[in-house]
Amino acid sequence: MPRSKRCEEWLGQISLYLDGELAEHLCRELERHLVECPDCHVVFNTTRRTIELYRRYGRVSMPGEARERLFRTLNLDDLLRDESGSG
Amino acid sequence: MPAARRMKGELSEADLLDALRRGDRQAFAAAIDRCGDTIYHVAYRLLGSREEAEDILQETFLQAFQHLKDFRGEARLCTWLYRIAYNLALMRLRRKEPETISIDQPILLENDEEVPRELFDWCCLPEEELLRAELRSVLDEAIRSLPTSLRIVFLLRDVEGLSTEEVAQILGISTDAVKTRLHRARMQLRERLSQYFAGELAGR
Ligand SMILES: [Zn+2]
Repeated sequence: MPRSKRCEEWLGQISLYLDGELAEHLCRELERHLVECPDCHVVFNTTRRTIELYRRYGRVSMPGEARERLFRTLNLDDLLRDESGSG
Repeated sequence: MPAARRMKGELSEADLLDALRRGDRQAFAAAIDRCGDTIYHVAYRLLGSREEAEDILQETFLQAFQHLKDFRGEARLCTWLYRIAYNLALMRLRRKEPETISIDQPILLENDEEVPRELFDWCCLPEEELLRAELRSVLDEAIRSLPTSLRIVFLLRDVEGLSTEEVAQILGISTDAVKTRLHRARMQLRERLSQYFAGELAGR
């Protein structure tokens, strides 16, 4: 991997950057580095995309039947019909 | 509009808690619909099976509703429930896999574990292209491959969208530890997905 120590340091900051927690002047420096360094640019973009994909497709919700059984366990069966969307 | 749904949409945190403490059954239903999905998700990703996730879902609400008086409102109701669910799931995980490293201990990492290796640039391929590659099972497998301590942070922060502070409360770790683990989780997932997409999509 033909990357410098500086690259490693910048890549260590990209999560803070993505979460808006990196100091302003460091953001500008990181952005400059990403323009100049194609490798870090790829890592940055694919990291951001990784998060996006998980946000969109990685969620698992309680299945309708599991919800129903939970309501029964708690003697809430009569309230079940109140949420039609998950049956 | 049905009562429980109305309640879910409109009740403030404080009102919901009051109603729960009064034993209002619709409030119980509302709490399930407000926090149940994330509880199920946490349990499913920790334990890996739908049956066990449902067990934890049930145990969490049974335990929580029996101990409502212990909840002093210092966190969000859902946060408190997530913490209960997480602890129940973790206990079960340790019974199943006693060798599982403690989630509270620092994670030992190979020095270069976070150094990106795969540099195939799949970031900007159209989604249909990625979806064709059985995206969901790839995502599932990648997240399953993470150590528990990283997986839980990633799913709570990035998938469920909870704040760093909330995740720290749920897991009983510092906010700095949440940030470090989140970064490691992201780097490892990025690496996995990149290897996969490089194999599937490179050089078309
Ligand atoms: Zn670089």
